[in-house]
Amino acid sequence: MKIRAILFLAVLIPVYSFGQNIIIKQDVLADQEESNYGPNKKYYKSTFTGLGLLFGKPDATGSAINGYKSFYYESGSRKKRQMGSFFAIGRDLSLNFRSFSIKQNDSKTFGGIAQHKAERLFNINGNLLIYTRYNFKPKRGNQLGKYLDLAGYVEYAMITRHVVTDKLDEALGGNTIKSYYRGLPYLNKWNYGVTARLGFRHMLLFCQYRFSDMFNRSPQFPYQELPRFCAGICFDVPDEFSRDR
Amino acid sequence: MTRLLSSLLLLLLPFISVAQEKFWVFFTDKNGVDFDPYTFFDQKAIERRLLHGIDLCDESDFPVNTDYVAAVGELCDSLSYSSRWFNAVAVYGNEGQMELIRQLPFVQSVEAMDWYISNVTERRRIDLSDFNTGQVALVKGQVSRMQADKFTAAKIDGKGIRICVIDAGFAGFTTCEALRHTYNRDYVKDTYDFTRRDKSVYHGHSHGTMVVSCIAGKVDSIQLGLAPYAEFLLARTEKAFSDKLREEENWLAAVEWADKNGAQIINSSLGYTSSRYFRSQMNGKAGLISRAATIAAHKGILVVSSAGNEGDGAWKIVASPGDADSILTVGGINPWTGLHATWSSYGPSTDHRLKPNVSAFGHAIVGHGQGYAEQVGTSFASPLVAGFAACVFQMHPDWKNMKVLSEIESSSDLFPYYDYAHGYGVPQAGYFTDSVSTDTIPTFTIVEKEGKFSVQIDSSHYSLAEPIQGTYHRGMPGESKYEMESDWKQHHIPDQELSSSSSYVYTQVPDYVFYHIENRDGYVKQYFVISVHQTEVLEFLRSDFTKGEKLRIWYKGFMKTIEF
Repeated sequence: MKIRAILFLAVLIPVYSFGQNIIIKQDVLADQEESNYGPNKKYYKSTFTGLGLLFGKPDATGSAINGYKSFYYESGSRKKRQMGSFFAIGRDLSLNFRSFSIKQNDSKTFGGIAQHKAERLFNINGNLLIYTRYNFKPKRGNQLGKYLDLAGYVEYAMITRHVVTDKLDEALGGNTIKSYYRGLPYLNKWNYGVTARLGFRHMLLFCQYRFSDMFNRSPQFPYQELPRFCAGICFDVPDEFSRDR
Repeated sequence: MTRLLSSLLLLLLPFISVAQEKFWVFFTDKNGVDFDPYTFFDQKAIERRLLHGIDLCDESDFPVNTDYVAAVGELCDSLSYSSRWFNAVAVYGNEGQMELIRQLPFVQSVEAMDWYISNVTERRRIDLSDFNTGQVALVKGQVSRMQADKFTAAKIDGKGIRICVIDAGFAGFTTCEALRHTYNRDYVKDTYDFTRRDKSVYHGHSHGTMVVSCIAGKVDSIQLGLAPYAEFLLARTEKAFSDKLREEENWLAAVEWADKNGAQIINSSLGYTSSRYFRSQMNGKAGLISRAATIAAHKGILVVSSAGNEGDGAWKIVASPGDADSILTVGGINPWTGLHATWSSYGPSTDHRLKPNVSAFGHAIVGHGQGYAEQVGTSFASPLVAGFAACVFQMHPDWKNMKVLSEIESSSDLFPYYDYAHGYGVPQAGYFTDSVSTDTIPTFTIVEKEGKFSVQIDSSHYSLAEPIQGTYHRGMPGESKYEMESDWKQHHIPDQELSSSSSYVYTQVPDYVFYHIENRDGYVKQYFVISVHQTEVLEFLRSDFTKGEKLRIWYKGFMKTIEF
């Protein structure tokens, strides 16, 4: 019994011999350090995602698109280097997805004159955008505020597809056939253009204009250029820590 | 395509409106302005000035020169509020117009304003009869933590003390059961909605109603606040859940209005952070409303402000105007740990002044138009202390505002110890109602041996720190309690793991050891709270301290300082 009691106590001793628990510990000087990272500080970065529509007057009726079915999606990371309360520069690295829905009409040239149930050209691009930012309100606390971005971009088409959807006659079964064409020789891999953005804190409205031609001037594929504009909305996803500090 | 462009244009509209901004135009002087304080001020405002020995009026009280305002009005889109104290007028216009205004000979400067969106979150609504054991403990605790029974026994209830409450709206005030006595007995002396420019304030958000209930709320024998018979001036300055706010301008207008109408106390439960400022600017001087709060203090008003709810966020420190000099900034206590609530903003101000000054419960039962609710935030700690201050004013009508402020600090349960989480602790009514002995009983001794300091709690005062119980709610049926201390070693107790269902609330400081280290410049550089598990509670090496530093240790009302 004695041995048992001693063993029991020996087990208990470590439990009660621990030091004091620190319930609150605050280092005031560390609290008061001002970081140089934040929305209105020297450095800032965020991730973003955006959606837009492709539109604009085509170079010819042969490359008209269905506006509301042609869209743009982007996602990437954004860095900003503040040069003063009014001016900043930065870069976006992103992947974007452009999908042109080709209008099926008699003057259509893209993909040949044959008309289909639906026809789509899409590509996935790696995009580098360099921007300059002009803030409307220099005195805005540690916030992004309201701003105008003027930017130039260059992008590389990593994946391209021409998708044609046809519906067979009822006599042939009435099935829908979707054909994918890859390795499209008529597309330029590199494209470039300019972007203007109006931002309010973490929300931006953007409008892009593509200077480069999507199609190379091949006599074999005399396609007329697709619309060059893209506009939409983009959201920054702020880093929670940097949001205020 | 037209439809697409129209949609885009609609999306762009908010940005197009950016062209019209709001600015403060500050004037150089008030030449040629007539002013009669007897017709301008309420009788209570005149009495307050006489008590504080300040002139009935000075130039800051004079109205803004109307000729100057008219001249500015010619050059901008429209005019807004004029500030007597800052000799300024708020205007709408664009940068080009402001450039012209800057050229006027009587214009000192033009500053752009900004705005931010304020959201006030509510917790679940309850009825008095639905109170569970924990909520009953909470509603009693929020006043008994400040020894409300001592004021009640001394028949001190804030009667005749005029408090201005500046808030986001007072919806439900007229039907609030807890404030029925205030409304029915005409204790509301005046109201003004600075967002709409009219006298109707019983709309908008119910936050203001809940705040007033923490000052004057009472139903049957249950008190929600300490000053049920105080008088009120209600000022609505915010539009919660709305779009663009010009709250600083409205707040400033409300403070000047409170001064004119004889307020002795102003309670403000709002705060500005990163929408306008950097953390380094929380020095009481950068924020317009912080400066206005200090001016109000110089005019004899006790300004009570919430510290802010940024403690566990990136901002972390007090928000403007809680950083202002000469005001009482109130932090939040977690009722179930008896200590600083993790979300309550920390001090000090960036120029090293003590903030928050004192603390009160940051979880409270409040009244509103449909009954009662359990609310969280320093928004509710601040009015609890404002009610306390009203009682002190009632007991000592000859005391000036700064005397009341310093006595409230002295009454607090950690005083003379302080830290930047709790300030001086929670004010205690007994300090004012009882004959207090100035002798404190030593509860520990400090033994120095071979360059080591050892803090030893006297065996007669030793008490093992109570294990703090948390409650899991995470999708579990029912509740399961666990001992927090077994889970953490160096952290605050996360508030989200505690709630009123943990029925025990602390009605006094828990039996922990508090200590801080003050550097040679007189600023606290580190502070700690530790739980007690043995009599030899702390050990320090002399070599860990530099010359000129001070170590202050507090346990059960006794404080000792070691100077190095």
